[in-house]
Amino acid sequence: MKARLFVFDRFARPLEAVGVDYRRFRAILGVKFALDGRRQHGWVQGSKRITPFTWSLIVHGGMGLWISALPLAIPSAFTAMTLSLSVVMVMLAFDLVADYSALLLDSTEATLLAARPVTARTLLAARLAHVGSYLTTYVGALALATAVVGTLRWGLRFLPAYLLSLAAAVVLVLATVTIVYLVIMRVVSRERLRDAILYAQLAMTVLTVAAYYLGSAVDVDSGLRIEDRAWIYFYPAAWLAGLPALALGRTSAQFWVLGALGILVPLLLALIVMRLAPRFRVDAADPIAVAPSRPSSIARTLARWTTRSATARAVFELVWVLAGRDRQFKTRTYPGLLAIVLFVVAFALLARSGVWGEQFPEVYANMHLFLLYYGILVIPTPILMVIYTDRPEAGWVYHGLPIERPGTALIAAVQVMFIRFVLPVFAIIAAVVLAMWGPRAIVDIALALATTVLVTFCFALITGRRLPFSAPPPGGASGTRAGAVIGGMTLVLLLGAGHFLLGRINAPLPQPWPVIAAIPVILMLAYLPARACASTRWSDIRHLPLA
Amino acid sequence: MTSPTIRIRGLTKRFGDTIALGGLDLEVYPGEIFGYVGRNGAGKTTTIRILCGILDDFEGQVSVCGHDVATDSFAVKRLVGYVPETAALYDELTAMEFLRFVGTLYDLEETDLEGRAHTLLDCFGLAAEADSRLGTFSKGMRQKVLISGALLHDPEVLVLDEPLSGLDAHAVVVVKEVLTQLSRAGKTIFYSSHVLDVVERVCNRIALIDAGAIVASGSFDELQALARGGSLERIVTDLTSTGEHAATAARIVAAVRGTTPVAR
Repeated sequence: MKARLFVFDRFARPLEAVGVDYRRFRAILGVKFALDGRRQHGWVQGSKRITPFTWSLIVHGGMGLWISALPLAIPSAFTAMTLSLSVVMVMLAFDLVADYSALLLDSTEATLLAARPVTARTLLAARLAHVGSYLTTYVGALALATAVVGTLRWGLRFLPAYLLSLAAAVVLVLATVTIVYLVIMRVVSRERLRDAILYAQLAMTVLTVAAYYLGSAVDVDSGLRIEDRAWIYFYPAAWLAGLPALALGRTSAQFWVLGALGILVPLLLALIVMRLAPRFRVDAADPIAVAPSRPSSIARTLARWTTRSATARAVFELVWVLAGRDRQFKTRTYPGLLAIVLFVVAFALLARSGVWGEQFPEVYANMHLFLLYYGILVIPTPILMVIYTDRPEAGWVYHGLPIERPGTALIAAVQVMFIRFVLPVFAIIAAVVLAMWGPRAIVDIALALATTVLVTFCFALITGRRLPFSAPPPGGASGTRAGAVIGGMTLVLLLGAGHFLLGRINAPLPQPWPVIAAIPVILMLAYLPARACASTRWSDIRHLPLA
Repeated sequence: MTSPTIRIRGLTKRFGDTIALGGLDLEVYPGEIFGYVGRNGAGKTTTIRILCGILDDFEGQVSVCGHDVATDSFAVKRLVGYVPETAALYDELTAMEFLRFVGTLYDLEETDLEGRAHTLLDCFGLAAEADSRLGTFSKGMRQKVLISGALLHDPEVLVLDEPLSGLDAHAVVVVKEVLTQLSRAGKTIFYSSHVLDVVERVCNRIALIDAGAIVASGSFDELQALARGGSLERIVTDLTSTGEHAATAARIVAAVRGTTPVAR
């Protein structure tokens, strides 16, 4: 914490120059960092488990290793850096939209700060600095390998320019998202604000995925040289890539223009943020009077169909209602779900474009398995996020009311997540697969569905058996998700590989019988983690707020 | 002789090296409104959490209506209606949805549950807000919802931790009257509060806890006899403090006004 504040201290004067009260800014930031540290360590309770934040760094570092191959694989430094910085910006945008928006719009401090003499500009600057410091750490993890590989390949002159482009990337992404929020706060009534922010997040997810495809669709036929393409002037990653290109001696007017855009646009956006800052509302995400909510008859009906005890019914209805209304849950879950669906649909369309079918018919014939199993990655998001809430104190109800076995409540929560989120996403992907690969994919869809059930219960165990909406959001980052994704991806990969191999066996029975035979086996396997969840006792439950 | 509804024997609770409760003995009988008073950190809420089966890992024996809290907390929870100290509720739920959740956990029939919940909300002046989200409620309105939740299943024992916190004057009178009528009906009420004049007027018996131990208990008249008479506030002050209130207040004012060095 002290090291981070030390860094910010170096920027005290520029911050004061744009109207930030640095003393108050530092006080707010210090408390935020202190709380983050305590929240994260609160989870591990003295054990040696890796913290969610560390998990996130590992995931970003892994992705960083992958993109570090670009400077070696692509002859053009500018093209390599454009692609590499595209990935960095997409990852940053996802981190920010899915995880950090909650921090940017954090309302927990509203009661503390609303009556204090702190200007909106200072408060916003403190929040941006808080979020920005995490993003910078992640960028460091993402870019470390590329920095080493790039320096080895192009020499030391590459390094400072690359670091500058990374800093500009952080400012660019953070400022863009903040401007979107500030504009929304300006034009949307307070009653509609929370919904509008969620829609904006979903829209930004769509744009980010679209930008990724623009980047990855870097004309395969261009010989991996994009310098002569006109679109690079509209592509932020290309602006930023102009900086290392200049450092490497590509000093034509084109690269001066791109490099200038890479520096000036982030600066301009940062100034716009400070200009709009007085519009920032400390209580932007606070509950306000909304129209009366009608009782959810869907929840009641589904609860009756799917549960057997009063406890399960009560928790099912509670979780269903909260999952549809809890801002923390929605902002951290919905964009991630949408991203998975978009990726799968876009990938399927790309596959359909003909390249794969013609050049690699064998791969294309089995690509539906990849799509189905990639879709299973949707599972961890809702299952892991359902434990968090902005009002964890309200979780006293589990302890204070007669619930004999908390396992009943855990299973009810998993059922809600499965029915409300996992199943619809699976259905969309299955529909895409069915439309493209025809009825022969039905058996594979059925086995993938059974696998989805198995993975769902496995993830329910991974969450550490915490009751729904009973824990404060993890400090700084929801890296828990990232950590679970690593374990989950391994599991999904193994199951997917098993499915693929089953599809190639023709003895003792011909296809599709081996795949069909696997369905009951997987469902029986799913029973094991489900039973472990259901038999959870109070002594197994971690971190439950007392009344 | 009637057996006690609540029986506590040698109750000790430690948090690490800190002893929150040190060998507490208590008995509360049917039809009693038992006042439980003491300064901040004395052990009141810890006692209540143990009594309601929320905190485990304690030493001693605690039973409610004959059920051992340590081994059968589920049975105890079914019999108890509990109002916690902090009005923590999910902002996104409506008042009605919260009461439905609570009532379902107490196994109330759906129509019965809806009827009771509507009536309670109506009695507390919240009928129009039944379908409004709790996040829009004031502290007092939330407290009314919590009290409704505790009464919903007609519990044998009511355990109330600062139940009047945030309530308007009208609601305070209503709640006090409800407690009186329920005690006449034979219900047991365990009432913890800092509002001593209410405890003095409502409770049949009062226990004074300090540093995890009962320092005095009995009817208000009996407590008066132990101290130098006067109000319950005076009795509590006599029995649990060193009488430095004026000096403490003077130090605070001096610190605020900057007339004495601030401790660092």
